[in-house]
Formats: sequence, structure tokens, C-alpha cells
Amino acid sequence: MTNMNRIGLGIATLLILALTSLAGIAQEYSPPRTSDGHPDLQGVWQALNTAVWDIQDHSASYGVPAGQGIVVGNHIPYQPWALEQREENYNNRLTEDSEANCKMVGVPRITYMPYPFQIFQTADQVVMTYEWVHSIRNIFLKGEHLPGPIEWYMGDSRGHWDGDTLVVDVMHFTGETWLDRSGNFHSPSLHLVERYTRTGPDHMLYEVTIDDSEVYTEPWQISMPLYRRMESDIRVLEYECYSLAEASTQVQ
Amino acid sequence: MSIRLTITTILTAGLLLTALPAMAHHSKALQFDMTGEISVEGTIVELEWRNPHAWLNIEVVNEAGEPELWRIEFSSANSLIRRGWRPADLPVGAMLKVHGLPSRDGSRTVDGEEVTLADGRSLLAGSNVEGY
Amino acid sequence: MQINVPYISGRLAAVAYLVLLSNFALAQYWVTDSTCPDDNHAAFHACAIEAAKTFEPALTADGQPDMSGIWRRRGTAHENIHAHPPTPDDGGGPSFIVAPASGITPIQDWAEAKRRQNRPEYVHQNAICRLSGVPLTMYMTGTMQFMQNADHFLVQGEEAHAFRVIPVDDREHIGEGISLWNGDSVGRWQGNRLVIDTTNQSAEAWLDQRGRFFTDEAHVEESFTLVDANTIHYQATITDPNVYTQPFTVALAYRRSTAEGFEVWEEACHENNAVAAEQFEGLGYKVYPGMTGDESRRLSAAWDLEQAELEAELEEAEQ
Repeated sequence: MTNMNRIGLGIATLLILALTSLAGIAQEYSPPRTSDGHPDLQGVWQALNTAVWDIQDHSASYGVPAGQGIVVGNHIPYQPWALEQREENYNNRLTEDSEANCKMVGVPRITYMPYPFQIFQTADQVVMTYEWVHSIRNIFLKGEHLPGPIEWYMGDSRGHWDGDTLVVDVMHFTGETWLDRSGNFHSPSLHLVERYTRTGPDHMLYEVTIDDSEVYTEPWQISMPLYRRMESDIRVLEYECYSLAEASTQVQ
Repeated sequence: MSIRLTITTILTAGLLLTALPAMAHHSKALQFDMTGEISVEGTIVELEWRNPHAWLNIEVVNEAGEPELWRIEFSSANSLIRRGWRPADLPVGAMLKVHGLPSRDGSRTVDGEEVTLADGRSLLAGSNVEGY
Repeated sequence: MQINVPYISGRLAAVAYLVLLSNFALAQYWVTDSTCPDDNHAAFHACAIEAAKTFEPALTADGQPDMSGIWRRRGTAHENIHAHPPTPDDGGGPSFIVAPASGITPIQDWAEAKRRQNRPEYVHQNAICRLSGVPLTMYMTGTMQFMQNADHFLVQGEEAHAFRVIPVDDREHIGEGISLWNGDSVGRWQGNRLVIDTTNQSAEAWLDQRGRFFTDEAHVEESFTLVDANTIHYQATITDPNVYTQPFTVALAYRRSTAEGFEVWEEACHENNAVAAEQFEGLGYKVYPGMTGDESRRLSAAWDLEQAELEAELEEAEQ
């Protein structure tokens, strides 16, 4: 590289750094805080995308709207065998998807189910409540992951604050839930790191690093906004699927 | 029945009666015969370490010498963990005795109240004495 | 090898062991030191009301009485809200009903007849992973977590991951077109009492495991009050003129759990309950469909008609 190019590169770098730090300052939002000084994540939130159908970019199909995906880079680094499994899942989705069986749908899918959910927060715990079959997540801010083997549909969640971001480490899953209705899947070895960051009065950024050495060749990420439900009388209602299912006077 | 098994049964039954008032669950009588008792002995084929009930599938050799599959229902895996059970104690192939309530519908299902392992250790099921 | 142990000898052996054990005090896993005894609900209720008049509870950062933490329900109201003896299936205990003083539900005749049919006909909702409604959610599970912030009170039990979210900003109820297993609860703080009003229940849940039911027009008012640092007084008044002749009140104590570092864990239910569900169905159990106000009025009118016809028949027979 010539000296002129070096200087040019140096100036460019400085400009980029200055601009990003300016942008950073402009974008940095200081949210209201709870009494222990952390951002207040509480309230009723909802995802506004088509991730529940398919977390990647997809065209419309009958009954399914088109959508831009939430996968960073739009690529899921499946191991070769897993691509066949995903296709089999897709072909059997009407019977094999846990949602089709009125069962819990796991994490992160519960976050982008198309219904409002609610966040509660104390110094020790963050609790999230959902409409889908009264799912609930207790994110413990004190204590370590439990020793295994444990298979929980919603995993074992342990959180801590990283500046103004709530970071949640989740493991101990079943292998039964899918990441969407299109058959994207994981094994019980799924390990997530979620990040919840307030970006404005009524917006939150939800990012997840997804890792599973049984299914993917490397970790990958999803990223999406969450939107505050603004109605003053908003409630998280109930979607008691299995009690509503066909012939629900029969025992199931 | 060996003397050791008899003593174990007495100890277990006593502890069970003292633990019962703490139970917070649906009625066992919906599914099991509360007036009966049953013991089965066999080999573990599968452990379902799940909620709301953990299940042990065991292969029992009947009086005709034929293998039968029996299903043993326990309280939740969560409550068993809190009682000190670990899946490693119940590997496939292990021999054990199970004591509990027979099913009302005549199926080979047992409400498992106590498990005695091959090494003589006894594991108690049900909500633990703390009543979780 | 299968061994069938005769019923009598097993139980006698157990009694013998209990005699041996009688010198041991059973460890308690909740705070027992308290202003008010909790082994009799009516006595606890009266004592708690008095004690709450002078007790000053610790407050949260939002200035509310701090009821957060892990609590243990006392008593066995989930089995039967009436006084009932211990059996191999039941812990037994005194009546959960503190008003009327009789401790007996003031139930209409047609409804008592219906209640007696409920238990043999329908599988209990908890056994098939349904929610428990109000008030049963508050005593179906033995261990509860309460959590509160400025405008909500969250009640959580581990069994079948049941929970209730109660806004405490005294908002309006949702419209009557929405029916929920746990109903719609709105709460407000009245001094040191949390008072909660619940409507909109689908009435698919019962009050206990004896088939005690209500209709979708029922109205439940609850209160939570700290009696001392480790005791909460809970009461619920159920008003449903379709089924009961007057409102009635149940009450119980929660004691603070002493379990170190207790965490509420995930207890999935429907996901792995198919075998039990098949057994219930095979035994002939159905799923309780709930009851609307209209249905209750139809049944009540039919009952009255039957009564009138029976009386006419008797008169006719005497002539």
C-alpha cells in the first residue's frame, strides 16, 4: 500500500469512527429505570413480523404471507444431514409442529408468536407471561444453570445485566420444538444467548445467538424489534389451545 | 419376601402416610385403586424423565416366564429432582422393585410410590415431604 | 415376578411405623411462628382480621405492602372446601368456608344434585392440565410465588405452569364478550389490603375436587392482607345467584416458605400427559364443559317443575 493510500485509509477510518460514535450517541436511548437502576423492560410487547411462519426470507404460499426474515445474513448454518430433516419437518408440519399439537413452542419462537406478551421485573427475576397455552418464563438473575440432564420446553434461563442490555443464557431444552412453522429445528443441545435492549419509549431490540453443535456448523443470530402495545386497557389474554381443540369434551 | 424388603416396605409406608397431607395435586383415585397395593420387579427399559409425571417402563417376567411391559407413573421430574433422584440412578438395564398403587382400568400401570434399587437403596416418589 | 401385597398388612405395618415415629417432630418448611394459628380456617380468619388492624407491613419501593416471595398454602381446600376426613387420597381438614358460619356452601337444591354428578362424570381439570380459575388457582398448588410491581400483581404456581396476572390500577373490566379460564381480574390497594374483582370466567373450572361449580356470571372478590411478616390472609367471596342462595366466603393462610433458594421451575403438563388422558377417557371420564347462566336457569326451572309435579303426584296418590 502506498503512503498516499495509507493516509487516505487513515482519514477514512477516522471519519468512520467519528460518524459511528456520533450515530451511537444519537441512537443511544436512556430508558426509564427500575428502583435498582436497571432499564425497565416491563409492559406488554409484541413482535410484528412473519418469523413465526418462517424465520428466513420467504415468498407467500397459500395461507402464509410473504416475509422478510429475522436471521442475520438470512443463512442458517445447518449440518448437511439437518437440511434433509428440515425438509421432512416442513412436509409433516401440520402434524409434527408442537404448535399444531397445542404444546409449548420453546424459545425464541414464543417471543415472536403473533400475540402480546408481558414482562415483569425485580432485582432477582424477570418473568415473561404469554397467551399461548399459558407459557411462562422465569429468568433468574441470581444462580447458575441447573445441572442436567433436564429437558424443558422453555429451557432454563439465567440472566444478567450487561450495561443496559438484559442478557439471558438459555439451555436444557427438549428436541421437540421448532424455531418456526416451517420446520427449522434444534436438538436438546440448543444453547441461546438472548439480548433485550430498550431502543426507545415503545421499542425494544431482541437479538439471539443460537448455537447447537448437534445441528448447526456454527452459531448464528436472529435480530428483530419488539413493539409496545399502546392500548391503555391491553391485556395478555388466554389461548388455551388444547382445551379448545376439536372434540374437546373428549379427554386430551 | 426378604426381611430387608419387608422393613423397607414398612419404612416407606410410614413415610408415605406422613407425606400425604402435603400433596397438592389432582386426586390419584381418578386413575388408581386407592385400596390396593402392588409390587413389581423387573428391568428398566426406558426412563421418561419428564413433567408432569416421570415414567419408568420396566420389563417384568410374568409367572408364565413371558416378558411384560409395565409402566410406572411417578410425580413430576421436578419433584423427584428435589427429592434427590437422579436419572443416572435409573439406567436402562438396571433391576429394581417398584411398590405402589394398581391402576383402576386393569392396565399394566402402577402409581409408583417407592423404588428399591439393586444395591438396596430406596427412592421415595410423590410430592416430597416439603410438599412442592 | 409380581407380588401382590395384601391391603391390610401393608397399612397395619404403616401404622406401626407411625407409632415408632411418634416421638419425632416433623420438620416444617414454612414459618410457623405467627400471630394467628392456621390449622382452622375460621379461627385463622377471625384472628387475621384483628391482627391486620395493627400490623404495619414492610413496603416495596412503590410503597405497597410487600407480599413478594415464595408462599405455602395451608390446608387442603383443593380437595374439598367443606370439612372432610383424611383418606388414602385426601389429607383432610376443617371447612374452608368462613361465611356462612356453618361452613357449608349455601347451594341451591338443583345445583347440589348436579354437583354430586360432576365428580363421577368429569375428570378433574387439573389432571388434564387445565387452568383452575378463581379462586381455585389460589389453593390448587401448595407452593406459590407472588411478585408485584407498581401496577401488577403476579401469582404463579409451578404445577402445570399456572399463573394469574392482576393489574392493580383499578382499570375497567374487559368486555363481556371475552371469556377466560382465569377470568378478568382487576385490583386495587385499599390501605394495606390488595382487593381483586374477577368476572368473565368461562366457569370451566371448579372450586375444588368435589365438583363444586359456578356459572359464567359469577363474580369473585378476593383480598390479600399481610397479618405478620410471614403470613398472608387470603379470602374470596363468591357471588353467583344462579347456583348459590347467598354469597359465601372462603379463607386461608399463606405462610412464608423457608426453602433456601427455591426456584419455580417449568412443569410442562399437556406435552407429556397423553397416557394419563387415555386412561381417564377409557374409564369413562368426560371433560367438564362449564356452565352458562342460561344453562343454570334452564336446569333450575326444570328442577322446580319436577318438584311441583312430584307434589301433585303425591296429592293425587293420597286421594
